[in-house]
Amino acid sequence: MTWTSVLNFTATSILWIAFACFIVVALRNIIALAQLLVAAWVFMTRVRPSAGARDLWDRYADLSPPISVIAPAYNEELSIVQSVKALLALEYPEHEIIVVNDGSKDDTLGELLRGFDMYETKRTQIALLQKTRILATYRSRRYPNLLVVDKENGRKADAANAGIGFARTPLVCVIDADSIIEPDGLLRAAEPFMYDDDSLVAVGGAIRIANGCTVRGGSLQKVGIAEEMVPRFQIVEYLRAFLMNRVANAHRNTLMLISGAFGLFRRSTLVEMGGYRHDTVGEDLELVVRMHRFMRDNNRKYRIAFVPDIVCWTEAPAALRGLDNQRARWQQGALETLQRHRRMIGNPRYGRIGLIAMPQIVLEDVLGPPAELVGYLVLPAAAILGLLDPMMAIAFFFVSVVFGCALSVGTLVLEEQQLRRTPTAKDLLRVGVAAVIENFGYRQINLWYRLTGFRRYFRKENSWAAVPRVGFTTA
Amino acid sequence: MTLYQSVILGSALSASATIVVFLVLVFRRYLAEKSRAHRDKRDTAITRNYLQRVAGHRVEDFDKWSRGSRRAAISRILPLLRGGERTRLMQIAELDGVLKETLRISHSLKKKTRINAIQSLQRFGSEVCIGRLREMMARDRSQRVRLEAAFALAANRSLPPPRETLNLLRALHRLPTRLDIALLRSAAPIYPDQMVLLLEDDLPPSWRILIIDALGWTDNMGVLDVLRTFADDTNSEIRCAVLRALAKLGHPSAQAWVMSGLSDPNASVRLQAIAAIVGLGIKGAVPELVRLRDDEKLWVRLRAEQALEHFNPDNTEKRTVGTTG
Amino acid sequence: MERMMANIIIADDDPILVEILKFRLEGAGHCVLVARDGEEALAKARAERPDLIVLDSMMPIVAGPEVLAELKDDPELKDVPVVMLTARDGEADIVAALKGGASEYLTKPFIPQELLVRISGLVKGK
Repeated sequence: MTWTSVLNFTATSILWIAFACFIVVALRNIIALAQLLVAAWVFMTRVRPSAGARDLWDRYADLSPPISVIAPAYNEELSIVQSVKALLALEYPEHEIIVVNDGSKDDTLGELLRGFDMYETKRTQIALLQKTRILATYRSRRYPNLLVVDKENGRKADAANAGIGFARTPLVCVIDADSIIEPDGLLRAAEPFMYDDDSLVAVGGAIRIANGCTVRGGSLQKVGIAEEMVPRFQIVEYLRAFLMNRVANAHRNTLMLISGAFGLFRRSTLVEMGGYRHDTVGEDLELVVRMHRFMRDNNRKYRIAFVPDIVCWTEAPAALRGLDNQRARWQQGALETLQRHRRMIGNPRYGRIGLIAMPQIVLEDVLGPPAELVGYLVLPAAAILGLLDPMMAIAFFFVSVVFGCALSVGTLVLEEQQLRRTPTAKDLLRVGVAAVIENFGYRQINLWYRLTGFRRYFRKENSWAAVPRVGFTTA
Repeated sequence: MTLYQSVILGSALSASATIVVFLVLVFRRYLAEKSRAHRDKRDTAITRNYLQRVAGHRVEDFDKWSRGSRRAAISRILPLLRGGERTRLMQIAELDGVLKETLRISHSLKKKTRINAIQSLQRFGSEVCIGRLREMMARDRSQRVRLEAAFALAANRSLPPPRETLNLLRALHRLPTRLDIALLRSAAPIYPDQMVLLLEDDLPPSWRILIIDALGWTDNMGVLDVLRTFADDTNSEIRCAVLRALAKLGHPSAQAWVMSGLSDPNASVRLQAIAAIVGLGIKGAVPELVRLRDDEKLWVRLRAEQALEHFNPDNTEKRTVGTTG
Repeated sequence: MERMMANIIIADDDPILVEILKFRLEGAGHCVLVARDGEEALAKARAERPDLIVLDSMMPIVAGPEVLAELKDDPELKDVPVVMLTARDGEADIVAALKGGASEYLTKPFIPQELLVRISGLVKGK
């Protein structure tokens, strides 16, 4: 092989890589644009639940399905009493709060027992979904609708499963202990069940960032915008995720993720499915993907809905440190879920989930991040070396960054037009500025964090490799 | 122009366009903030004006506000008041032509606007409003708007007879939802006889269950005899609905009947019977509930346990553990 | 005159509601001060020593129940009767308000006449 042929080969491969990156990034953004348009259409034709329906619902309160709110708590002694008080005060005709103390090392349990005047009780667990041991259950003398389950330490998935096992209501709402639920969040999320003909199995809702908001006594007093830029960028990201992506996906019944911070599920379906899986860091994504698989495998008519109203607020990492870990974990979780359910990808048996939604996750979470990052390096390099049209490198930059601005700002337009939950014009402008500059640096840093997630995923794979690989060869 | 050039141009144009739209929205928001004080002041003045007129004072300058702003103010006042003052306020507002404005927008081409008008009509609740709501429920081209009009009528306790309601909402061809249950329940006290007659129609079973359930909300003990004919129906869901209706009617003669539900072969009927016993407060059922603690079905055992706790709250074990940890 | 004139602070962020209350209370011969949020309500209460405070449970900056708690902690204000305004179905709010030391509560929507009767009862009972 001559030097020229090596050079030629390298040049051709660089060219191909450049083209591939360009196509992946362009495809991602075209899908995002389509989602934005679908979401805009959904919002424009959406009719908000009216006073008349509310009035009926008030009068026949027994018609709203009772809900168990499952709050797993680990080392929350400082805030747990306040959070539980806020949960007890949620507007809903009939709801029970099940706090699962996941083997906290601090005095979370003691705070609960003293704060709510609790006594030990023998409550029957209806379904055994957790892998760890239940130590005791407690009830309150003052609040008949509060149950505390004390168990050995496990993961969040395990604690949530334990709580689901104790629930007796038709619906369960799984939250994070630090989620701040909107006072009418349960009502909003349960509304789709009022129009339901028994096919609805799960409902997700919009989640916003609590940084910068005034929180008192476990409930949100005043909406605000954080001073730091990192939370502001995340406001934009959350809007893109919830108002654009999820609204559009739910419209086509291909909602693939209900965030672990707030999700309303039919209890019987969760129990049938065995609850959350314990062996993944992305248990919320995995659950919904498996739910689609389960319902379609069993040929059941089902629906997973999404309410664009805000149901819950959550504290986001305030600085890049903390964010890196979160994003790496999300990435790892997505890869683990895809690995486990890879047979669904492109499988016509799973209908639009197999043919559209799963490939979309592959594009978004497997191909997208490396392609964009590699593109930033390869395209300018190739253009400088004269291998490709410099216009193509510039076009790549415009598609990923400038068009990214259009999408982010477009989502903000949607928010302001439809929900209007930004407190003031000044704050709106601040978020708008964040929506533009997040495309210059922040998004790229995030891509890097996601590559860390790839690394973790493969490292975990390697550590598994030593164990006999049962079931992996049959795929 | 090459492909790349058009990509660049397209991205740049779409980004600038969205940013411009966004800035327009920010500006609109800014203006709204500026004018909020002004709007509040105007609405407050209109409110004061109305209050004075309700109190019987004579006022001169109420013509200086447009119908639209009076409508806006009224829609802020009405949810705060109830009782006679509210009624008088609405009468005055009706005379002012605020109602006319609402009726006008109820003919809008936009579904959303029509639904907003429905909410105002519901709040006013006068005869003209009910008439217009009925018309919307019967004729609006959107199913959703018809349904909303039905809710508004239900809230004012003026739904049309049940058979007509079901026809207008094209209900019988689909599965019922929880809101259909609510609609039928709110129609029941107005039309008890029509509800009973409806049962003679050839109805899909899922709807028959709903109507039996709604009979419980008639407040009319005459329906007890009708319920009795369904008490031994072969469909367990109908037996459940009968128990729900009985629990709601709360007639003492139903007690023995509810008790027999505790021995029903179907577990969901037994559950319903337990709920009915708790609802009616039949203390005599305690020995039966004790028996059901050993029922073959877990849910029945749990509910029986809960019912026993309800009747005898002190009997359960309550040890103080508040000091541990 | 039989009726006693009282100084009353109304703390609510809805100008329409304030207007309705003010109209009625002033009509009955009381003197009304308005606060738009919890903070202002506390400041005015400390400065003016009113005979009665009407508190909305949902207010910006400092919510009703917290204003109530602060009032009850203040030795000079703890005997001022407080009427709490709550939403129609705010059963928990009502219980919390009464436990927190509110003398009366009123749910929205309300009958203005009823408020008047309750307030004159409280002012006389002092």
